[in-house]
Amino acid sequence: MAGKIIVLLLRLIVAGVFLYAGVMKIWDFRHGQSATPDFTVAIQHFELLPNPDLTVALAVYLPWLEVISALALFVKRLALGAAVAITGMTVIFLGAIVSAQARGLDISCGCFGKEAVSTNYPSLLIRDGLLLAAGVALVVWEGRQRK
Amino acid sequence: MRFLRLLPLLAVLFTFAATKAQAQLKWDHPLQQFHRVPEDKEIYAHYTFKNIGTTPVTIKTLRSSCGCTTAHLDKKTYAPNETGEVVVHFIFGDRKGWYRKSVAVTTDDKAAEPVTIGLNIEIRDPVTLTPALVFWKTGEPVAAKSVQFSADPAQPVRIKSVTSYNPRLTAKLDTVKAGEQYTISLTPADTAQKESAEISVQTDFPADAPRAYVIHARIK
Amino acid sequence: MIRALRQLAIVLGLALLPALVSGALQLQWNSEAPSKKDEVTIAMVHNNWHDKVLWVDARSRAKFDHAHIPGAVLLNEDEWNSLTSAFSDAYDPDVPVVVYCDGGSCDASHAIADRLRQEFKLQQVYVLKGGWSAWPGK
Repeated sequence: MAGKIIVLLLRLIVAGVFLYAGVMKIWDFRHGQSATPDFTVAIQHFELLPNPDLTVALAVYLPWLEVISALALFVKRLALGAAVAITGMTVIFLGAIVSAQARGLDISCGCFGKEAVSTNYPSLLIRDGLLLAAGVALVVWEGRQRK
Repeated sequence: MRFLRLLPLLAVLFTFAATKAQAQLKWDHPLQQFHRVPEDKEIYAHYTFKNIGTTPVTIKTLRSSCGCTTAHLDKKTYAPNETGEVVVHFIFGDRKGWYRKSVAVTTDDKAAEPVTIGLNIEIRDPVTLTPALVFWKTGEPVAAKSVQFSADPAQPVRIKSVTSYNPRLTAKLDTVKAGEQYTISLTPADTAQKESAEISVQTDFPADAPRAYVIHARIK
Repeated sequence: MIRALRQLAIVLGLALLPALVSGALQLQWNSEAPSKKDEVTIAMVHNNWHDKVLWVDARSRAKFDHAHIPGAVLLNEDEWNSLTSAFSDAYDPDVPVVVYCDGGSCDASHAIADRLRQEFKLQQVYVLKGGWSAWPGK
């Protein structure tokens, strides 16, 4: 019983994080416009993709994958696939952050405007590390279910 | 019985809230305003602070909003009740008008957000010269183009001379109101070929080092 | 294992549908004229002006010398007075001017763009959204 409650909590937290993150990357509510250009720029800061078209494609696809995965966590026949997708995305994010840190990139922005702060790598890594642990836990749990 | 299980949670929340409330460094004037002129070239602004907390605070980084602004600190760690000062140095360059330059201060206080200290500065030039670029296309009819020179009535500026360094582009000065409003008319000899000229407008202000303004003229 | 892969494929595919719609909308928005805020994207420069613009670099000379957009003219606030002559040489009223700085939330490009509009009375002056960091192929 306790196990099921923990899993439900994990599912709610992970889904909540990914749903929020995905939606925020799709639409800029503050200014009432698409957030894709901003997200494209954010991806470019990591300097990982060679091709600008790839960057735009990723900026368009990734947020939707986050949203759909978050929702699919609650669909019995898709929960395992969703957990795998979420874990996979977290691994990629962690890899990108570690890579950026190793190269000394400032991924918060190119320079400061009014109140921006420089990249706080440790807190980013901790946050994504926790998400990764939750994702793996969900994959293991879902994998054990007979469906 | 259920309440007992909530106690640890409440304790955690309470401690978290308590640490959040303690901002250890108190800044006297985090945002300062100045009025200067371009000849001043730079400014040093002093930001004093005091450690009002109960533990020593170490300032970790001072990040400025651009390369023209640097911040200096004598030492990094301040005991409770100790005061200190950050000196912010801003070099004007060729800037004119209002600018906001800020420095983000981060400390080892994990509960505190970085503090932004900064300055609003007006670098006043009483003169407005527009447009500073006049352009003719080759083959365009030969017509004079005019540039307006105006000075703030509170600070009159007289034009002493207008000189074109290219004889194929002549400059004529019309005084609308001495010290306040002038019109400079520029006429090319012809627009058949490419030309480039810088027209120098020599003024009488400031008296110790009078400024010369430049109009760029191009035929392309 | 197979169950996991099959479900993963479905999730990936499901996400593709709204992404394609979103992508098509982005393409449509990119080919529109710049917004009132005078910001343009690389895509807009490509679609609207076929990359024929005068790039203005509002960053420091050190950064410009290290790398800049090909053909860009340096015009920053530190050396405005001495750099405007070279800018005037490069300027063409039929070619839009696009100013860039580091990217993120730096405002040097807006400051330079404002000065060009006010002091030079130029009409087609824009600012590159994302600045230097948005430029591919560095």
